[in-house]
Amino acid sequence: MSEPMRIRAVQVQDLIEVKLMIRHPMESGLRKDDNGKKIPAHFIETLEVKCKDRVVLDAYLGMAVSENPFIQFSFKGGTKGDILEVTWKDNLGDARTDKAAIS
Amino acid sequence: MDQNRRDFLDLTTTLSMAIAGGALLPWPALAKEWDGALLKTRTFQEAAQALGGDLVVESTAITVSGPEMVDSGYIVPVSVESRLEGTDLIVLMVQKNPTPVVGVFKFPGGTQPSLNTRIKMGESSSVYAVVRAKNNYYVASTAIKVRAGGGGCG
Repeated sequence: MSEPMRIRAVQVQDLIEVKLMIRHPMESGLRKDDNGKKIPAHFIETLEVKCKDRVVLDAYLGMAVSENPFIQFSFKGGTKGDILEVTWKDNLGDARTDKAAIS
Repeated sequence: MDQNRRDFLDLTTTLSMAIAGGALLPWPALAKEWDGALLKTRTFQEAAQALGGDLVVESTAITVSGPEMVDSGYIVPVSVESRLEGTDLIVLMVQKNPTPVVGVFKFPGGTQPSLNTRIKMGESSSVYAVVRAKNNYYVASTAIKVRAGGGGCG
């Protein structure tokens, strides 16, 4: 089971500054455990951020994004109180959506 | 190193077979830029070609930044900013990683074409940002030295 993301979205003048901290192992599939057994690949592939049903970021993350991915970006057209909806999906078919209000 | 490379080849073979077999259809539709060839490209020229561009121009209106040197390649903070008008897509690549394409970011109108993230690096390498702006392709890079690789950095 996946853990909730941390979503911080703050209005600074006409920009909404977003910081995402996603909990995910982001295993590349190239590492081995202590017994020399390959650790299977497990990483987020797609990430979508919506603000009031409008897509504001659409991304593919590869296996070389660090464990517990951090993404920071900003967009125009949002305002305090708007709900931000973040969805990721990984290579094993797991997915998660979390929401947060812009403050 | 050889073993790593073989593992990586195994992985790519499995992946391409799975994709060919339709088992791993990219989500939610097939029309995404990261469907198909782009993710397997090894150089910024190949990446631009996979997106349909034939010429990549170096641009000083793109900033790729990160630390000059890191002790561990496991978590390397990088930031990319494009000041090119009409930027709608950025591909982040680490030249010497087994899979150079680290991420593909699409910026719809209203979203600032810049971002900060953290990536894994297997060894010292150039980090490239390939930028699409008004259907033209541009590139900028920075060099990051890594003392110890980020174990299986993709």
